[in-house]
Amino acid sequence: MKQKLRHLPHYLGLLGILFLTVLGFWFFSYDKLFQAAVFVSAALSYIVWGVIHHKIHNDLYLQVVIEYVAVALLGLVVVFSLLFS
Amino acid sequence: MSIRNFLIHLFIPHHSNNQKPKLLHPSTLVIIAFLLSFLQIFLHFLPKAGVRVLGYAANISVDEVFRLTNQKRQEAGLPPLKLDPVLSQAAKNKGEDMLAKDYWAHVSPDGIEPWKFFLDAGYKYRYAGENLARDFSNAASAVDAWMASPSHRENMLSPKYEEIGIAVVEGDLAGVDTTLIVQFFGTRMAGTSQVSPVAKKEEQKPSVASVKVQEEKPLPVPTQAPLSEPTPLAFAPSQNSLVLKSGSALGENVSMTPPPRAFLISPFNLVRDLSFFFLIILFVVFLIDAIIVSRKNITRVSGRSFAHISFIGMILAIAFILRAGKIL
Repeated sequence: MKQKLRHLPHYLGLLGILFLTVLGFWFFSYDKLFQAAVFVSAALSYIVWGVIHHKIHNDLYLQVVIEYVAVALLGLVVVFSLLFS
Repeated sequence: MSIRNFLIHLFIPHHSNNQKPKLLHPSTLVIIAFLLSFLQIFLHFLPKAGVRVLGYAANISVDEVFRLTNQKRQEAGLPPLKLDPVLSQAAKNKGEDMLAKDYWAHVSPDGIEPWKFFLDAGYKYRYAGENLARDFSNAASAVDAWMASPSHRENMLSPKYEEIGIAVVEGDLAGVDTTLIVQFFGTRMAGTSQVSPVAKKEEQKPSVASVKVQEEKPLPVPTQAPLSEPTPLAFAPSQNSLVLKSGSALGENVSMTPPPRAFLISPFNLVRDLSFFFLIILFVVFLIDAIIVSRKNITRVSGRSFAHISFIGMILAIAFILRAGKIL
């Protein structure tokens, strides 16, 4: 538990990024290109967060990076499909 | 492999899937992403293959758009706009032109700017502006979308405008049955009649020097008077489709007869429903995976389940926020 609390700031940072992304979609609902840019930024931030987090935990492997990239890619496809359908 | 084993392999951490549900393997996630991409491409090319897609079953009336627009103005302490039949005719002509030439823009492919429709309809303006919308399911959504956009909002709440013309036109735009909404805002040149005949274009077409526009409009739409003076037009293409029928009365909604091969689907809703389906399943499986891994204290090389769950939760929130409909 203590170990998990020690990394709480990591997760708060990630949650902050994701929350700001949702806010960006809410406030800029009239600008789809801007929304797309916001989501690309969020997806990249998510991958970078994963790399840094696992690096700090000394468990960074290519397989882990691919996992973050796959989740981010799925998110990109879903959001872009909704934005431009 | 029995069905039970297959489901365990797919959804539960197990030795058969290397202690990670197969559904959560990167290869499976990429396959889902490709499936959604193919669906999007399929929907995109469906109209080009001669199959018509019935986009949005819009229930939009001119009166409702007019009422909501003036309601927003009154809430902002502004006087209401008058619904002008000449402006409505101009808006209708613009909507019909978009459908006929198959474009979604303020300026037509052959370079015709919106102001020409004002003048052709016999409306000599001092100020003019345009808002466009398409694919909204109701008038309130379209008006809310305009109000959320600073430039469109500026048109709707500009004290410079005294009159408004509105057209709701339905028709085929890029192979998809669409509902377009066109709002034309205007203030007549001093000395021009309030209700001018619609058909006299030649005489009323102002020469470049005769159009005086006094304010400049900020963006998002290039606002231009047919002359070189800065005009306060705010021209925002909206995403609601207009259904205009030739010969229909001004301000009337006209619907086209559904084509024989039309599908009653909305590309946006179909993609959104499928996305919700996959995302909720992934969300639940990630959650189950995290609980089982934590309880059994399984050691494996993997990303953080909490991070993945949070990211998918964000996508779900975004999918919930996004609405059909575009403005311009």
